[in-house]
Amino acid sequence: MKIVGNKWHKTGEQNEYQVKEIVAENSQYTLRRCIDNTGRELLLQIAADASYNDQLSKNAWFLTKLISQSDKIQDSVEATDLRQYYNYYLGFPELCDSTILHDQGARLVNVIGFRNVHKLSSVIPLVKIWKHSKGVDLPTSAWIIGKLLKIISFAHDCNIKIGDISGNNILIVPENHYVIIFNWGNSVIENGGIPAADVSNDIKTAAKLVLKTIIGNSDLRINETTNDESNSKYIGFVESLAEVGMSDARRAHQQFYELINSLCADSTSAWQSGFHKFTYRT
Amino acid sequence: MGREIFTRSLYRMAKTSFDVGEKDVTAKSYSQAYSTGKLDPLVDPAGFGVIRLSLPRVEQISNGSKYRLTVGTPLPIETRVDTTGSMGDNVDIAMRVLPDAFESWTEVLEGYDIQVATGIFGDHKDRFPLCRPQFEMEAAKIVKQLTLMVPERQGHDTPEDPDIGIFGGAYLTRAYINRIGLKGYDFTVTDAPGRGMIDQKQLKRVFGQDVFEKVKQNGHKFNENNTIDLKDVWVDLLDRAHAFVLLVESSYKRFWIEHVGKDRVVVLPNTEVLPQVQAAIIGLTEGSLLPTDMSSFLKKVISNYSSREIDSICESLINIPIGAQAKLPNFGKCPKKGDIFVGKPDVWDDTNLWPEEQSEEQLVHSEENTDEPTEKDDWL
Repeated sequence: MKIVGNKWHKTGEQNEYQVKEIVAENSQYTLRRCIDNTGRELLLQIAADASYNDQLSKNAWFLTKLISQSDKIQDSVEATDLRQYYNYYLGFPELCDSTILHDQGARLVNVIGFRNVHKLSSVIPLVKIWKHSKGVDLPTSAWIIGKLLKIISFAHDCNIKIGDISGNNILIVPENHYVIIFNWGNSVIENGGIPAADVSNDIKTAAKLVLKTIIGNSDLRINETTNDESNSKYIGFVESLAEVGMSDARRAHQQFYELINSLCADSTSAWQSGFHKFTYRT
Repeated sequence: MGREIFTRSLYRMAKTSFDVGEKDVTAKSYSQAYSTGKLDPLVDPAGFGVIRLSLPRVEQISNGSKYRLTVGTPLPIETRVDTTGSMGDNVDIAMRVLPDAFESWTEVLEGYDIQVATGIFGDHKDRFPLCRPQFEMEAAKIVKQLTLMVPERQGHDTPEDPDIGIFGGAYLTRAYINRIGLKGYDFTVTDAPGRGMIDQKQLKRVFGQDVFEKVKQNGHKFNENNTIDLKDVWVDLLDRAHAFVLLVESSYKRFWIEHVGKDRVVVLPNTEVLPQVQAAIIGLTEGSLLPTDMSSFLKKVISNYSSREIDSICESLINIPIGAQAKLPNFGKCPKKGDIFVGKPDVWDDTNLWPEEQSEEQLVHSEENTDEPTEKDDWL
């Protein structure tokens, strides 16, 4: 591993990464923007010091496991029309590289990308969306929670209990409708399957985050965001997930889309199927 | 105190010297124990002062006024293996895999003086529910102690009694590594649940009538009249060791998770790969093995396992407290081979625990690398 000026590259490797500014940091790691030799923007997740190498390495391990499981599913449906409905790989980052920089305090660095994303500015943490004065409209919140339930159910099917479902750890790519759980370093493998209580907690947490996304930085209560029957049904379902949860994420995901499909099919409802552009409430 | 370290050739010589075959390595000790009614003092939990010691090996220098560390900081690895029922051959297996064990451990514990105490446990109804050896470093002594074990191989009831050995690990061990703020390693290998509670009469029977005096002598406050809960003992064990239960049969996982915590239970496919899995656990805990390197490490040290079997082990290992040793404040400050102490390190009154002078080898290395990382060098 060698750092040359502003460029950092692996000796003998093709990849070269131009290191840029810090975009975020916490007690365990720093995130820096970098650019690879195709011009694609990536993130360097750099351990704060060597004692946090294990956390970053765990993240790398889980990302490797997730893509392995996702690839198996994609391969099994590749020749069918079902492949567009799976693509679980869009729900977690791509691990491009992982290594220890011995001349930088022996700290571990993960090089992380987002599939089909060329510019990092198109990736927005959920916490940033909460800062908007009015929050997002209901159809926008619907694709967020739908994608969240999808990645949660996939993780649970892999016997992975997600350690961090929070506004800081969920990223949105509005133009592509991607919802990504970023850091998996706090996850746990549950070989006998995820306990029902933990499944329910993950669903409750996700639903609460989405309700917050609807309100944003306003003082509104959630039932003040709509006076429409269809919208009330939708809100009621999300609130139920937030308060009661469900013991099976796949079932929650399925029931959610059954509801959305019924709302779209209802001629009296304003809900429409098809791509809904990311929209803040007015 | 010596500077010999374990090697395969010394192991083979020791086996020849003690006339140890591939099977029934404990046959002589078994018949002797039954005819005398006593274990050899080396493996009798009540023998040799009850409290097991893990001490730095030093040699006197400078006309006896100073002491030099001959190998490295002692790192105790205590393992207690179930030998009841289907686990009855575990001493033979432990003997056979001993060189693999040392080689795997050395790979992840560079610079340490590895000190091993591999004992066995059975059922409280056994004549000898526990055999607990001394911490040893030399092949001959480790081989000898294994031959002195007395596995009774009885089934009795389903719960077995590792709890008694866990008590010993928690309260009857005095280790230099703890005195300098780090921890050793403790492994319980079983296919059965424990009892969850420890009978004080059993403790006196196994460790001697003055066991609680010994516990107090070792610095632990203990109320003899209370029932002893395994959960409490485990908490105290974690104060001095990175402790794990390696479960060969996963049917009893719930018992162990309830008593020791989910992050302390690792499912083992069989005891043949015990040393390699222990090495992986130790490496992950020390930070010398990263999770992303687990799979390749295990594939290297376990030659006849499929990728799927290796992945299954990795999935069990990923949940342990990774990097726990590396996060302790004094990690990285361990005395190294050749360091000089002005007096003999004493683990009882905590004197002379740290060297006054570094070894010549370390001084030369320091001189060659006089440039501290500058802000520019460490800019990431």
